[in-house]
Amino acid sequence: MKKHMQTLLALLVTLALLLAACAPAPTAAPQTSTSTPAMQSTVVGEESVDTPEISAVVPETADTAPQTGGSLARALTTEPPSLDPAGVAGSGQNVILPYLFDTLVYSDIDNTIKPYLAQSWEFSDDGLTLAMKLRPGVTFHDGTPLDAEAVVFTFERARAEGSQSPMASALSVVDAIEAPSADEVVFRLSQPSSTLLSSLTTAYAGIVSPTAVTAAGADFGMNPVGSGPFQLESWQPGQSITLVRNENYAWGPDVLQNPAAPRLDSLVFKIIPDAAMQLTAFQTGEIDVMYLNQMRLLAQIQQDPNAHVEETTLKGLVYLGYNNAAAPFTDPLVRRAIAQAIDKEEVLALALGGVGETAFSPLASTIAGFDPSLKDLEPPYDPAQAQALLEEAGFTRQDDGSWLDAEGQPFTLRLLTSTRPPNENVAAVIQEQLARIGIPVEIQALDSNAATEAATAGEYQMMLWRYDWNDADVLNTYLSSSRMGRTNRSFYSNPDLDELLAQAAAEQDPAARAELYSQAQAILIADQPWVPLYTPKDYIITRATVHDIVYGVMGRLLLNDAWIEK
Amino acid sequence: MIGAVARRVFSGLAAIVLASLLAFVILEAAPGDAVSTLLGDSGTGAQEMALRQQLGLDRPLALRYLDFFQHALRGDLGRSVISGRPVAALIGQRFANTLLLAGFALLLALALGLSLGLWAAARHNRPADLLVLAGTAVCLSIPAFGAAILLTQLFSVRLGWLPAVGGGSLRHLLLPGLSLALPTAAVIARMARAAMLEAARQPYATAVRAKGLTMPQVWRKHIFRNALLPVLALVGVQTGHLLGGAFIVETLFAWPGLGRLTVQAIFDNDTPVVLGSVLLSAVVFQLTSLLVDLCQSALDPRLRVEE
Repeated sequence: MKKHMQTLLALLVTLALLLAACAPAPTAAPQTSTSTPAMQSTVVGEESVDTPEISAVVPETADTAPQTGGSLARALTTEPPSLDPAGVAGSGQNVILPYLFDTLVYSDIDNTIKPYLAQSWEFSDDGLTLAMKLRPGVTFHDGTPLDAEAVVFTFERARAEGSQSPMASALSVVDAIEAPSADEVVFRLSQPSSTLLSSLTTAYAGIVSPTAVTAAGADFGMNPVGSGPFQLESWQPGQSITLVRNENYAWGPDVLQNPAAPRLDSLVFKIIPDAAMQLTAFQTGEIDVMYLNQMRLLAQIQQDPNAHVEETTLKGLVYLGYNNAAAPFTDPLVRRAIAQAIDKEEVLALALGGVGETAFSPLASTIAGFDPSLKDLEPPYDPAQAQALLEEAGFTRQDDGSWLDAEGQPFTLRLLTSTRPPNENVAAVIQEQLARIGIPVEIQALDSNAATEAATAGEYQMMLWRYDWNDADVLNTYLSSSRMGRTNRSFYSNPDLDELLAQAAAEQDPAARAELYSQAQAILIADQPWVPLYTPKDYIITRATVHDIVYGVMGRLLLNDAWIEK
Repeated sequence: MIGAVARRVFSGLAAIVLASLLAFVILEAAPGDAVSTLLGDSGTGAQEMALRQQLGLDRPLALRYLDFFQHALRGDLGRSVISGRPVAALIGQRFANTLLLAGFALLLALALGLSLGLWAAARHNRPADLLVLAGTAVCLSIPAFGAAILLTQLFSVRLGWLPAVGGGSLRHLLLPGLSLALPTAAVIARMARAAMLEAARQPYATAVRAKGLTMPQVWRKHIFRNALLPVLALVGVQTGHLLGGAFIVETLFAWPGLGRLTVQAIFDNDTPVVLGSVLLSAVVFQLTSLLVDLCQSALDPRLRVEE
């Protein structure tokens, strides 16, 4: 009897262990719920999971009239360190700041710039003066009037010496900011800038209450006061941030049906670092809105009748960058050969479950200035052609299928990336594709700080990288020779390109600017300093009872119209 | 006795200083710094230099550590370089939450572990004993996140009894506490069981039984008390595990503890916050082991004379 008992128990234990081994295993690293590869924090590009870009405005259809009241809970992957627009950039801030602070201008989903706090604006003919007329009657949450002095205060603070503001770089072309009258603001520039206006639409350009900043000093980030549709009620560190309706609000941008005070009573951001746990919290009703970029989790939620799933496209690009300053990628033939050996469709299908959009231009298709007509210039996937190009570059094919380079050394490559999902999956598919034409690839996956440091120092051959940015000026940041050793990590240097990008950054006319970027893209597609792979997508999950969310640019969910069906 | 305690306190202090020094050196050696976190790819060279100077990152390593140390002695842990908030304010409440979670888990683990161990030992080689052995093997083998997922699926999603995420109430504490406690409870149960079986085999157990004490009396007065010593030693070690392991559980259950804050600070190269929390954790760990040592010598007269 005892023996039977023991056998039975042994079996049970084995079974239990097997079950434990099969249990879904989310990793516990803090970034697991963002899909972002070694991504750079930029003025606008931020960790994707909290701030995706929505590709279209999708009006919610509701049978009943909007109802007032209720509280909307939204999951936040990363807690913002502060809610000061002039503080450090980050995904959490990017989500919350637009509810607390209004900006001078608003960027619509199609990248057009619309009035917001500024009713109108005008550049001088030489492009050196930007004059803005402010909307009258706007007040901050503390009752301070939002006038030209407040605008000057906000931007002087952001560009002061030692400022951490993500706006500081965009404001570096500004010589002076003046307030000729209470409702007029004038920016005087040292050179024409086509990026200043779009940078004024970002979350970090929110206008702050001078009274509150002076009173709170260094603690303003914990006690933010703006003029936005919601105001801060409480902040429980590590746990949640609660905003309540600004009853006086009446100045929303015209994309809203309801530019006045929001219908929701409150908006609660719950900090939940783990993506699987966010999903659980959605299922238990603890949150109503979340972003998702992990396909294995998506399948769970798509069946849920309480969930409304919306696909989003990000203003980002995942690419295979070469170290253009070191052999073998100094040779354009080798760059092209590798490009033609990579099947982007297969990368998407195998590494990302088909979610995303293949790319051919170094400018993401979602950024203004992208030229779809250049598709024909893309080096097509053609492994045979890739091998012919390698031979043309002086490489010799061995009998076993491997290659000797021009110096007669065995040809192998190293691929640098960060450990953030889904990087290692994408890298593995590329490794497999290059192995098919006889090139062994060693994958070097480091944490994002270490990967960034190695890439900036040029200690790599190929890198799997990603950018998120809202303006075509991103090409200048990552590919202009003046940024070498800093953000031009591919060490690409092309005077023609530099010239085009500099002209485009100063060009005020959108059509002329787009033409310059089109030329720049044509050069880059032909020269292939990067192989553009794909533009990523996220999903936004909302509870089916939440209606009339307006999807904006930069992952903004405008909630003035939103209401909860009771 | 006093001398031993003084020596123990001194070595504890040395360990605390070493821990903070080690953390400082490792952070310095790690790639990137706070300025790269603050500015990302959008900063200009001039902005970078101004910030580095403002944050004092251009000063020599040794000076910066000494500076930190001097301020820390006066109870000033500085400000976070990322958020600008005082470190003491940042880590204070979070640390209290971690202590609450780890303390709750420890109590739970002790209660579960000791009672199961006792129960199993008293029923040596009977089905109950084997059941405990099997159950603890399972608990030891399931990683914290596995237990966390199973528990939330059961208690939050299916039954809807407990919230899955967040903090602030006892109901929020139950699931993370249980997830954290299970492996430790299993270790304690096995240790307690083995120690009691060992004690029961000792000649003194037979002797007191022969003296006429009843079996329950023998277990309570002699076996249990003797078996408690190795369990107590284990608790000292497990406290470190609980404080460290709290991070994974904190991340999963979105519990607002220190672990999450520290790991984020490490990724952000936020040296003052990392040093502050390392210092605090080291102090608590040393205090716990001191307490365990004192308890042990109180329970075991042999340890009191060992000088």
